[in-house]
Amino acid sequence: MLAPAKMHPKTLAARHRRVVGALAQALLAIPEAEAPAESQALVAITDRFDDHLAAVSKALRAMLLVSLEWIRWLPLVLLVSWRTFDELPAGGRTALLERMERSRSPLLFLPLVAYKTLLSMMHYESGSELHALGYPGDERARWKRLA
Amino acid sequence: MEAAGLRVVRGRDQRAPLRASADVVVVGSGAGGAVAAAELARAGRSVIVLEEGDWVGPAEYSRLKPTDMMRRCWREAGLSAAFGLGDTPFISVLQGRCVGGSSVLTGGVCFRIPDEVLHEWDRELGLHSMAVDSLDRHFGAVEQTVHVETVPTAMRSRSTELFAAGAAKLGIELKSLRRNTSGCRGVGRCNFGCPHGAKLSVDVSFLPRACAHGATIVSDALAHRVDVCGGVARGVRGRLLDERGAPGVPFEVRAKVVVVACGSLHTPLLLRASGVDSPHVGRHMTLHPGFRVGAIFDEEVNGWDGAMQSVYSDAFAAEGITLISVYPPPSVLSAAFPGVGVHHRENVHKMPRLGVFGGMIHDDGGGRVHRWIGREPLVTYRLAPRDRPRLLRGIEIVARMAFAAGAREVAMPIFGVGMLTSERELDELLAHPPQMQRIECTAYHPLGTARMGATERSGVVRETGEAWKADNLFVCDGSVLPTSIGVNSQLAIMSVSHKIATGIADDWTRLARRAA
Repeated sequence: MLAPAKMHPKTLAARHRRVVGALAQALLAIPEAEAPAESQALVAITDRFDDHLAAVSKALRAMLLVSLEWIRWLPLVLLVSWRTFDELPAGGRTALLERMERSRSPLLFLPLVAYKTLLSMMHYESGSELHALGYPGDERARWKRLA
Repeated sequence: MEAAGLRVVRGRDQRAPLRASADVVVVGSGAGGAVAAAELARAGRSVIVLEEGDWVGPAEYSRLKPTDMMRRCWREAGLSAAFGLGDTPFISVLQGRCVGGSSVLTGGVCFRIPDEVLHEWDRELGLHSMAVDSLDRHFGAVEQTVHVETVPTAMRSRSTELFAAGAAKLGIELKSLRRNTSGCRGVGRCNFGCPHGAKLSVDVSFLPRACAHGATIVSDALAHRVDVCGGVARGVRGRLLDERGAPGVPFEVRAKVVVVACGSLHTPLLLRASGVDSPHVGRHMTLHPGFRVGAIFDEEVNGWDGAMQSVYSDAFAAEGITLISVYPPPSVLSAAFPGVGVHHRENVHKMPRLGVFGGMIHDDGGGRVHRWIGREPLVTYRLAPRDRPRLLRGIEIVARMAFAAGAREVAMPIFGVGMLTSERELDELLAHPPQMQRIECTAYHPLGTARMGATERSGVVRETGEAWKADNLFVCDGSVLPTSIGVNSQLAIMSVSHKIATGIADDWTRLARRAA
């Protein structure tokens, strides 16, 4: 289980942190060996997500938390499993997210889009991920042609 | 605090109620408010600018990651949206909430309002002072101040060059954009604050000019209402926000003239809270719904090297479509790749070979701003029937440009649609158009929620920008533009504000007498 971080007692309850961690792991394919409980990357991304949520209005925060609860209970709602989302094995979570992405129902694809957008941005702005993509930071060559 | 020619009183540091008086109080420090403040201060008026957001100095931009900037400078930390009604996409609506407002978050693209739009305002809406000739000097003055220049061809990214090649094969003419830049190094993160200070957003252009003429800027100042007594605006009151954004001590600014420049989402809320209502307040909102298409090529593209935005095409203006190049930072692009898990990661790792191009539509005013829970509005938007095929047509054109340029795979801005590998797949997709709700849309240009009208029955403000229902209360932001303009709105907002501010300065004696 993803423990609540002491330094970030902001918006997410412990169950929300578990769902965010499980979502991030499945969405971003963080390696299986790094279970949510141990993964520093997942703790960090959950903390950043918590910070982000603290910066939005109460109404929007409530909507995002409701959609997080919705994702949490979705395996039961869709009769996929008797377990909540964060209790599903990694493969089960990925399969559920793929189903949400393909769905024609906004109730399924919109929550995925909202969380995928934020979590993906947070993950791929880390120095190591950008480096792996070949991104050179603020160093550029093209403008020098003008000199 | 003082830096880069700005004098900012940070509301979060104030412990005692703030009371002040000035000739003019401007609510909002974005493209509209900053220009009004600078012009009125230059004309000798004492000016106080109230900004709800924080002040993030340009020196900090390079230290902040995109999501940090979203938290600090974007309204709703970048998560505000318009809820689609009927067969309409859910649209991200991105707005600034910081000293400098949305001008800090733009790609710097500057367009004059197209002549045909101004002709429509003049001839069909009766807004004769908004004719092409009348606005020309205001466009010129603003362009000079923010250094509008054409993006050199050498600054086009490889991503843009590839799409340009595809466009050429299809006979689509692309033109170089103009932007408010000086010394751009093509880092491609304009909309998260230029790390080199090369984008002349209003926090490094008009606001320092206003301060040089004695204006004071107060950040973290949330205006609750404009005081209107006897039909005349007298000042503004509200609360200063602490570092967590919670309301702290009150403030009150008395002024002879009040300029409201909170942007199209918040100006209508402030007007309504001040009793300045009209059937048009909060209605007719246009968004320029925008889209972008990604394409994977065989070669290394490294599209981040070059200007974030450098070319556009008005070849489809008659169809209500403007095409425009764009290449946001990699973390932003990562979210747009299809797939989840390993599949998503594999797609993201194709980014060095990714090209991106986008567009927007010249839409009808189907949006509304409603007061809701808390201080942020509920925004709804209904895409007009004529705009639905426009959106799909724009996406189709850009996808065909990608294939013409030799793309191996094309990522469509349609949720649940994987990478397309041929035009045949594109044809099949378009033969059975997806629900509009599945289209991924973003809007940077909400306009029209306090529109200008030739009569009280047709608008919220007069051609002078003054509210029909309250004297000495002016609106100076995108909310006064009566229709969408089909192109990026930053320069349009600045120039219309310049016109309104010049009018206030010229008419000062009468306005001051009325306020006495």
